[in-house]
Amino acid sequence: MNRFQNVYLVRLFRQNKMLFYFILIFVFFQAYFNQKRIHSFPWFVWDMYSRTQAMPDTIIQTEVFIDGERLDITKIPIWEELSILNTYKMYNWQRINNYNDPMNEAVLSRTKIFPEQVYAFVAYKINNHSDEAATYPAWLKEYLEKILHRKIKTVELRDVQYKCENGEFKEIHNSWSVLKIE
Amino acid sequence: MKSLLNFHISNRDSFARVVFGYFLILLLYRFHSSTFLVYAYGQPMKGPELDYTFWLSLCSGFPHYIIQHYWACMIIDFAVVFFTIACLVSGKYRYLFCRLLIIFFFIQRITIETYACAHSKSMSAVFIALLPFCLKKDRDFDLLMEFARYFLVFIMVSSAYHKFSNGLLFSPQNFVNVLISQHSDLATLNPQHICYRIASHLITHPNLAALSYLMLFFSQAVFIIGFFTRRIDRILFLVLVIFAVITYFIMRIYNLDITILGLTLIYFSNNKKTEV
Repeated sequence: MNRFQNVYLVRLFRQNKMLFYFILIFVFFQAYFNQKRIHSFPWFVWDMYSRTQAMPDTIIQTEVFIDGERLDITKIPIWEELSILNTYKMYNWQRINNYNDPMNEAVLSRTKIFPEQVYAFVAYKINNHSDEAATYPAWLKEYLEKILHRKIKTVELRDVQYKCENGEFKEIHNSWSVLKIE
Repeated sequence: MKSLLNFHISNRDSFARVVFGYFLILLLYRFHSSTFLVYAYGQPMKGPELDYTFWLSLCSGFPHYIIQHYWACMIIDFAVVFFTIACLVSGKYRYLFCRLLIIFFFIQRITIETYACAHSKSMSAVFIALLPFCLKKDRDFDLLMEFARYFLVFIMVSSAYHKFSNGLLFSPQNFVNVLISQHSDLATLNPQHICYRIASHLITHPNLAALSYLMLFFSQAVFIIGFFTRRIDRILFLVLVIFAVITYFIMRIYNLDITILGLTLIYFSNNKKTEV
């Protein structure tokens, strides 16, 4: 028994039982989420860049045009770049799906054991709705004005398709405007 | 090198000043990157992904309420900065201020990440690093610090394990594919960016890319030693800092959040006995 008295969990149990149970629960959920490979804060499943990555044939790059000029989003802080591109992707995802949030599948799956009212409540809280999406363009213009510190007349977001050849991206002259804010 | 490994944090108070000083620098950087609620105010699209904590938070309604009210965004942002400074300067009530800091920082992060549709996973590391300061007794503080240290060791080893178990160490082309996908924005918009120039060199030399992936793996796998001894904790800390810097230049991702958890390695290497 003496061999184990210095083991962290044994010391923890002896010195502070409440902390011991707290950490045990934390460890249990860490193991669970690791197994499921779901990141759920504050548990940390760090498997980015640890999965097989296929080489894409083509990619679609979103380009932001402000007052007709292309904004080099790689020159702004990375969080601003993420905020613009990820919220835009979410908006576009809703638009493509006719404003029926694809996240609803996950809501259905997670609430199937509960009564219908629970599903309705969770779906309302988790899913994006068309009236919210309608205000997105105005928010994006305001956000760009805030981070670029200037007044903006027009914002256009275009999706541009590139072909990937030998690790290089070549434009194949296929682009389309998704969002134009004036 | 010797002097680099020879810095001292003599007690809990001076260690707290290092942690909260570093945390304040991270906050300044966040402010510079518009990662404060006042910048995201009014954003309508939410992206909680599959994260249960984000789902529960959205069901409770607080992120939606905060993002819709400018004064709420201001208060939360202000509280985070205020309690960080309070933790930095106050010794006696630090445990109380830290509890409040964790609550406000949690609210801020959940709201901003939900409405930016972007989750920075490494944020967990910041919370675990701050948690010990919420405890008043030195004994409990040490116990939770030890847990934080184990948590860091675990996430590094776990990440290395995923790389190994997915067979990526023996697939030289895989890291090239990762780099191509990771830097598609730089490749098309700003190929002169230093990160892309480094990545581009690796993309055109797959063997070099495979070697750098192996080095990345070893820099994480070496943390397994941390489960058995604290003798090389300072070296592990240095490895972590180098890892954070290199992943920025190769992958253009910020791992500075994780380095705050790395400070636990310094705390134990200075104060406590070296055997686990």
